[in-house]
Amino acid sequence: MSSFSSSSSSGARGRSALNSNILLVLLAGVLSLLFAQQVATGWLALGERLNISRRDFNLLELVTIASGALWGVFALWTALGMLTQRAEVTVRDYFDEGGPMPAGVRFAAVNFALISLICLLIAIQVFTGWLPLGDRVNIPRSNLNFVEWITIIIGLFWTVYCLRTAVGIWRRERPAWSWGQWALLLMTMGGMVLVVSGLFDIQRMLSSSRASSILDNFSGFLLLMMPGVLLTLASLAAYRDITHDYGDVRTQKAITGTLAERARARDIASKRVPAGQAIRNRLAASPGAGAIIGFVGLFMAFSVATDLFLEPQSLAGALTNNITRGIVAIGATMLMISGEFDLSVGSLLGIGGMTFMGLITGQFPPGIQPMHPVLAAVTSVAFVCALGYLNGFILIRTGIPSFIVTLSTLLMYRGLPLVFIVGGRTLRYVDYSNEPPLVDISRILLIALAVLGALALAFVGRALISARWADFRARWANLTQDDGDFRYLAAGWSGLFIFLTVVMVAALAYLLVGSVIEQISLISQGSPFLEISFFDVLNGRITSLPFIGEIPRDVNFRVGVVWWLVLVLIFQFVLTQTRYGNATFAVGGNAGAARAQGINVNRVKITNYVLVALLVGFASLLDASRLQSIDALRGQGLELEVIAATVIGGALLTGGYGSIIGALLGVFIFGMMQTGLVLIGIDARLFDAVIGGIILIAVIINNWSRRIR
Amino acid sequence: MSAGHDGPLVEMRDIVKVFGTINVLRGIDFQVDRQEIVGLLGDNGAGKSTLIKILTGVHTPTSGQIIFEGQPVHINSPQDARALGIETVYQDLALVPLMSISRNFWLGQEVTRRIGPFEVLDKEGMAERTRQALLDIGIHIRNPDEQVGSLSGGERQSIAIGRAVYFGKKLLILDEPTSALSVGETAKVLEYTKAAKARGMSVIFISHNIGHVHKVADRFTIISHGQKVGDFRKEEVSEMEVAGMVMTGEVPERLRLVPASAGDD
Repeated sequence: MSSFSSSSSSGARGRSALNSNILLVLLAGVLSLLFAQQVATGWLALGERLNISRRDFNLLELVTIASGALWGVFALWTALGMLTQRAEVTVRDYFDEGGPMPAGVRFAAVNFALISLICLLIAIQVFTGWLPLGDRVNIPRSNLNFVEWITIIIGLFWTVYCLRTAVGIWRRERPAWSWGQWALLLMTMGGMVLVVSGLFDIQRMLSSSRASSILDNFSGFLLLMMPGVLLTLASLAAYRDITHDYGDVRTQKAITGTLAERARARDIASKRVPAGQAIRNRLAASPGAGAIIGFVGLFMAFSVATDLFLEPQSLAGALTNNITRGIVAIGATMLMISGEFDLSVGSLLGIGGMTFMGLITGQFPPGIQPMHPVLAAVTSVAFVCALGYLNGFILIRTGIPSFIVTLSTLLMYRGLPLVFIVGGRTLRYVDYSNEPPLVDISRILLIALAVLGALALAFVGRALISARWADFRARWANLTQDDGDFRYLAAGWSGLFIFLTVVMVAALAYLLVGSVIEQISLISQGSPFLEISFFDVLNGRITSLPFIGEIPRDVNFRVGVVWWLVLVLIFQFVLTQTRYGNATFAVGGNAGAARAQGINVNRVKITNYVLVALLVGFASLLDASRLQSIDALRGQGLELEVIAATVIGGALLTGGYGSIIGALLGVFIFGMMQTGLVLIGIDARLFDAVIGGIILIAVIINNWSRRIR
Repeated sequence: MSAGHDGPLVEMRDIVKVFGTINVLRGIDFQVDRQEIVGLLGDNGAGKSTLIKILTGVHTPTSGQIIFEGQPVHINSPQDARALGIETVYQDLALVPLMSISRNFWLGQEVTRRIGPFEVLDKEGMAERTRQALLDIGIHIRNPDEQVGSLSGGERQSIAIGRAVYFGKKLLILDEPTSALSVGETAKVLEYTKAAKARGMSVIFISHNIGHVHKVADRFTIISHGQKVGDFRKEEVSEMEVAGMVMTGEVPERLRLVPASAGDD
């Protein structure tokens, strides 16, 4: 085709994005041909090549050459077709008006058929044991392990899904347009994961062999990179080509006019949103978009980068090391949403731990008798709360910005441990007592707690199951009337969800009943009290889990993790479901409007300062219990880490916006970085630098996703 | 006019306010009847915002009396004003931009339902009632869960007005409601102001734009240098004459012959 026609057709389409699409397809085709050429010339050897001369190709190589060449030609042909296509040929016409098939749609349909075939082959290979996956030590080939079963199930599902989509596109079925978008988006992401894992493998290859650059082992490089690169390029190009006229952009952008007109326009547009935009909208609805993307991205990156990351030891360590940070971040988020922040949390943590340790050992305040651990815990938390109240009180009374107020108290509060724990000494519990701080817990109390838990479970479980059941029934009944593109998937997911809910509720009920029976039998055996170390109640090592069994010694999984997650649930509930949570948002979002609606702004702020202090106090108990010691500088630097986690989680420094779940993910990101960077062998001194970069990226993503709304 | 509860909704008598040595208000009489839209006009520094702040409890008068529904009242704080049913809609202070329409609507008086020992926000109920309440005075919203920050200035004013109407406020004070709005949105806000009046509210409409006030107000009160220039029914004066009075603080020759009827008791 002449350059004239190409420029006129692209000009008529008027979208430069489409030109880059052609380039993507072109690139994919050229790479595929290159790959086939490398195999055909014998430079890139595949399969088992013992005692075969370079010119004798084995079956795998022959198949690769043929399919690589064919697919490459097909991609080039598609690129040519896209280039010469008339402007009237659009995807919308193809599906809605019975117009001719655009080259991009044909490309997508053929690739779906191919992917379907490949998935089927992989599933069969795994099922027959030819392709072993996961840990296969001492397992006969015919016994499939968990990873293999999952792979087979996903492989078969994807086979059916892609085949159905290919057929649907061929038969101009309107829902197939939407199915295809989601599948292509997922495959683009999958291709990117393959690329990343290929990069890690190359790095490993370079460090293990004597090769100094990828040029020394170019065919190996091709082999590792090609599947991911081809999948990414082809899926991305097809995705962009079939989505570009999905949904009416003009309607979507109709933001002038009356409320009613806009509402109608948006109503129409909202039903036809491309998959990528749908995901972005969903992310924009939650404050922690950056945290969600960061969490998923880092989790996948570390999982493919090192096998050690998904080991229980690593995950438990990542959680256990962040209990303190996680609990304090909950409070910091509440406070930041109400428009203030607290730099003194690190010092408060030090004071809390020191008071608790000092009281149970009789070292602080000077000249007291060792106190009962429970009393000591309550006293120290109350003391920290009083100091938190002081923060809020000074802020409200003086009107000085919270940065200055809490910067001052950060320095002032730190003075207390520095004075009382003299000269860099560490106050260790074992130096003062030979036995742990034992407490006697009445088994009657335990039974009462279990009964209370059972009541709560019955209440929540009933509500949850009946709501899910109604949802499932409605979906099932409307399956024929529903015009949603994913009604079968949604109904299936709804069914799976109700099944899982029932299983979880049943398991919890079983545990509660079992523990009540056990406690009753122990009482009847003449043991009315449970004697246990208070340190273990707060933050002991969990040695075994119900339904899972013994936890190995080297997995450091602590009770504090459970406390942390429970607190996250409680405060998420308070923030999103109660009047107090609403008031917190309003105070930070627009104090004047909140005051005008009768909210006592000062009281909300002071309450949040006390809540932060309460959480810091509790966290200090867990921290002291884990290490069973306290030193004068405990908690230094905590304030900035916590603010970082909160901001990654989507809270605005200016107040009025944020989420507890976001802060949880922010802390998870911290934990993953600590563990993951060590595991992939990056210098630990770079940790802070990497965290800094992540904060910046997360906040940029958060701002970007907020603007989409 | 008859006395008792059929009398003026609010009456401010001989209000004097002195800040230090500066006489900001020098004995102003101001009144709002039931279901009446009063345009409060005056140049910058004339004392109109001080007068309004006295009515909303931000300032207390140096001397003078406020009579609300026939009863003498002391409004010492914004909470007192709220309790009487006086709602002020400020340009920037009305709504929280980062919260949804529904949450803003119910802010401070959320509907809850009990789940065991806990009071839980009834989000669906609030959303539905928000949509219905706004529809009642002609405001269409598609999604009550939409953030207020994504709405235009006029839509925000409308929602604030709708909220005041729904919660049965008696007196709505609109402080420069149209100063940053487009022509179309201004028309909407003026329309909702009339809708609020139709639902039984009285409105004080403060604006620099005499054209906007003239479209909705039943009566004008013009103040200048801390004193009332006059009270005029809409039929009595033209837009030009009102503008002239706001600028000069002088009542034109023609109107001096007519006794200022509406404001008198």
